[in-house]
Amino acid sequence: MSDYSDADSNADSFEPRLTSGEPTPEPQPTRVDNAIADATIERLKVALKTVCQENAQAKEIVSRILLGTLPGSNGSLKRKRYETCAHCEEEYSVEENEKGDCVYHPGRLAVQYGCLSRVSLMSSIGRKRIDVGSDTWADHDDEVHGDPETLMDEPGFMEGFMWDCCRRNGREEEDASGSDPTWADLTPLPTDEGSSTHPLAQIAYSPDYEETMSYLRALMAANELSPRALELTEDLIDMNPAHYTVWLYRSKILFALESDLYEELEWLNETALAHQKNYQIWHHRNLIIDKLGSCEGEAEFVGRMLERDAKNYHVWSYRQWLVRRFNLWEAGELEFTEKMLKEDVRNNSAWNHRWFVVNGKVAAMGVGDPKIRAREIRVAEEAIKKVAQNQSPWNYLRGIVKRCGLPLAELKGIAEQYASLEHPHSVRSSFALDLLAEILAEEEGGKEQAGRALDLLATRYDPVRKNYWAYRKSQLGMGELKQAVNVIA
Amino acid sequence: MSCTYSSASVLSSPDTPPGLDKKRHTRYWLRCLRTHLPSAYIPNDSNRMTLAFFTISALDLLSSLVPNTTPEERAAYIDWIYSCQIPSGGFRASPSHDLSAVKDGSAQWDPANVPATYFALATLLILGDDLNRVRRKETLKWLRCMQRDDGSFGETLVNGKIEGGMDTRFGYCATCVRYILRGKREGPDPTSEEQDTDVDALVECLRKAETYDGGMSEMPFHEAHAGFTYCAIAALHFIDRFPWPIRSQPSEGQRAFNKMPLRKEGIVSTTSSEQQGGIKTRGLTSPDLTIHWLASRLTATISSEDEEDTYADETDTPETCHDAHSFVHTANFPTSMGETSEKSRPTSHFALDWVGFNGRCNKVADTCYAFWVGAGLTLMNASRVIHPTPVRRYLLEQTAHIVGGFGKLPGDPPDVYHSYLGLAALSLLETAAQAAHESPREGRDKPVEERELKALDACMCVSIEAKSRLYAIWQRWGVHDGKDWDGGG
Repeated sequence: MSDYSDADSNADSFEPRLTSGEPTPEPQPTRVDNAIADATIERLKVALKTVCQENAQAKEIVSRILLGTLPGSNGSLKRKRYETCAHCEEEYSVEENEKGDCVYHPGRLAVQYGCLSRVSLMSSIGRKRIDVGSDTWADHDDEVHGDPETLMDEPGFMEGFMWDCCRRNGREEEDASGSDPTWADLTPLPTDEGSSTHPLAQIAYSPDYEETMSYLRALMAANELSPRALELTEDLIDMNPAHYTVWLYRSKILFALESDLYEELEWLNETALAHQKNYQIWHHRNLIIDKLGSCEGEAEFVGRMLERDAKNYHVWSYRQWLVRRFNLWEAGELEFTEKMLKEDVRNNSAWNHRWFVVNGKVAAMGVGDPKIRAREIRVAEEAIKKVAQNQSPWNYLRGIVKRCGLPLAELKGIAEQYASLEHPHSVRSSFALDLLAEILAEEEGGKEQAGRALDLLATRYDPVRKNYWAYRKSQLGMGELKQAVNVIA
Repeated sequence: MSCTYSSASVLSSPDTPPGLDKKRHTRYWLRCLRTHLPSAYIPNDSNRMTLAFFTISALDLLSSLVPNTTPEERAAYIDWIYSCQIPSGGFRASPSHDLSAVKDGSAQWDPANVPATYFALATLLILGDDLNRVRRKETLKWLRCMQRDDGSFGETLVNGKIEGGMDTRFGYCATCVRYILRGKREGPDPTSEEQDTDVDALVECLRKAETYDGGMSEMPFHEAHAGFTYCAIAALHFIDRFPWPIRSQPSEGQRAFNKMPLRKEGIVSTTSSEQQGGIKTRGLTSPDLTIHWLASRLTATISSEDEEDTYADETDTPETCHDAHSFVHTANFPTSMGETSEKSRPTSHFALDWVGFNGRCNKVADTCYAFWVGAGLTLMNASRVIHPTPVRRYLLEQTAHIVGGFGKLPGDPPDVYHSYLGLAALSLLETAAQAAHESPREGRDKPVEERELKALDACMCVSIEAKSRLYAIWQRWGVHDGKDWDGGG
């Protein structure tokens, strides 16, 4: 992505440069110019690729020319700017293509909006429609000659159809599909519902999805590990990221072709942002990063994801994996949790990550070390000072005491600071009161006081859980809650 | 806390909870059954067996399956499910993955899927199939291959590698498949002579995913999550390794079992622990803390507006505070902004008309967690810690949709996932409400016509009626000696 960061701002300035400005004298063609003019397209592609690989500036220029912005993506999503329609065989710019130019291309764009897939396969396959103006149908009687839809491939009826992309006659089908050698040899394999007359959970597939899936199935059945297969997995993943084997298939192709894994990461970044709740993406990312053996840039990417959703479960899980895999325990993780908690002290994912950073390393003493314990207790107490009615730091304190095998009574001091039975009208945290009830229940002769704390929770400070407080009280053998109405529904 | 009175069409008085509009929900599910699901489900094309399960099981819970389908139709649904069976054991999750029609097709990309196998078997039970066509021996063999050395289960087996996450979802589905095919008893299966999965290793794996705050997570040190917590608890039930019933006054010996430390890897083998008087490691190290964690998921924060702005405002108000539903006295104000904010608010807690469940600490409520948490508490024999009425009202007045079904949040359109789990949660609430008045057994046995929804088995997430069909099937298979049976009410 970063390679193309300024491509947007310059994208517009590129073409005017070709058409406007002071006329300049025509330069004399050099020997290189002549060589370019005579070279084959394939040779030129190889040459251009080499230039891009060897010169970052050149790569940027080429990006500007060949990559465009997807409509509606705020300039963040890139795709190829030029596509070739297989039927009219004309190149078109995906940015400038509008409704009416060609019936086919805009339809594609509508589907492409918001996703990242290339359209090379899509643009190579057109759809035949009935040409109602054709003489073929002038004397046609459905009853006698059959439904026109079923005659699409009948040699005698070709004239009655047209391609919806370029409005050319259906007779030209052979030329059209034969013009894209990429897919010509492949017979698509449509999904088959088995012999059942009543399949369950059928989905209204879009034509794009059906088509992409049928080609993917053909490729997977042949276990083809090729660039075109790699490209097709992208199309499918954009539509169905939860497909449980396409990711495995993709990684197999990637490794078999020894593809550029950094390019894969760029694509994954965009895909992860588009499908935030998908977990296969993160598993795939694990694979790629593990193979690369470097986590450079990963912290930044994780940060970007957390900006969108600071509690995204997959992202936090992935961050744990990074810390373990690259031994980042001391590399600013603790400071990172502090930053996240400063932004939102109620972010339980950040609290959990802190617990992991402190205690998760194999053979780590964690809070078992008195110094670390004191520090962590201080962090939780500071957070409680900021917001007393926040479950996360209270759970954190309980966790510390439990892990160290200390009695819960260690926390009596702080619990009473925020919830004192001597001042039942000025309780500042229901979680402190809950903790106090548990501590008192373990004290000799403390049951009655514990019961009072539970009554207060049920009737005043946490009535959402009144049945739970009643349950706790019954565990103490204390009978029903006082003041509580309809304790049990 | 925003009040969304306008979105609730009919408000009931606090004492009389609203009724479930069974006709409307039935219509929603019949649409799902008879017509194509909309294109928005394309990202779920690889989970069609799951969607099928939701559809069939929802209609079953509503007692609407048999009245609205013919025996021929149900037989066709059954055929469709069997068309997804893999000859070497297990089921695929969607016909889109089926490559069996291709001669010499690459079978590696069409593997059996663990969750799909659970959903297929459960749906077959609901449809009244006798499981005669299930490749039982092959499936048991395959299931064993799906378990990793650390005890966890994966999703698929591709090229000899177990793929998919390590989390408890797959452990749950795998133990349910094991339960359906061979009951709870450990050791080699007497009829097929297939070896058992490593039950001890799974228990260890589940115990390690307990978190410092009493919940369970996807992997050790990841954040506690209600979905993973439910899956772990239910899996322990399926393998008969749940802690001794918490309320049955366990003996000293039983207490010792519950608190047994984690087995050190490789030191105590399964057989030697069996030899020590049949003592087996049981799951959950601190059941009371787990109940505490589950009860803490109750929240009056039910719309996304409620959870905004936890930033910067450090005083405790219902808007900023996810778990307190009362006004907690603030001793002093850290900022003048906080003081102004506090003084402008009413001084008594708002009515607790609607109470939902969140999936993690300090998150907004979501329909599906009414099931994950409610069922978890039911399996902990602690459903009485929930007051059923406000949860019922939350589901029926806030997330139920006018066209039938349930959305994730108030005002969201319905989807089959939330719609099914909403019904499943309501069935459990109905059972809990009955149990509060009567003995639990009477609640479960109440005649169908007096209940709104069929009683749900909290562990298998199907009606108790559907689960009880297993009894005859087990007898036919010869895997049941009468002692294992706990289903059927």
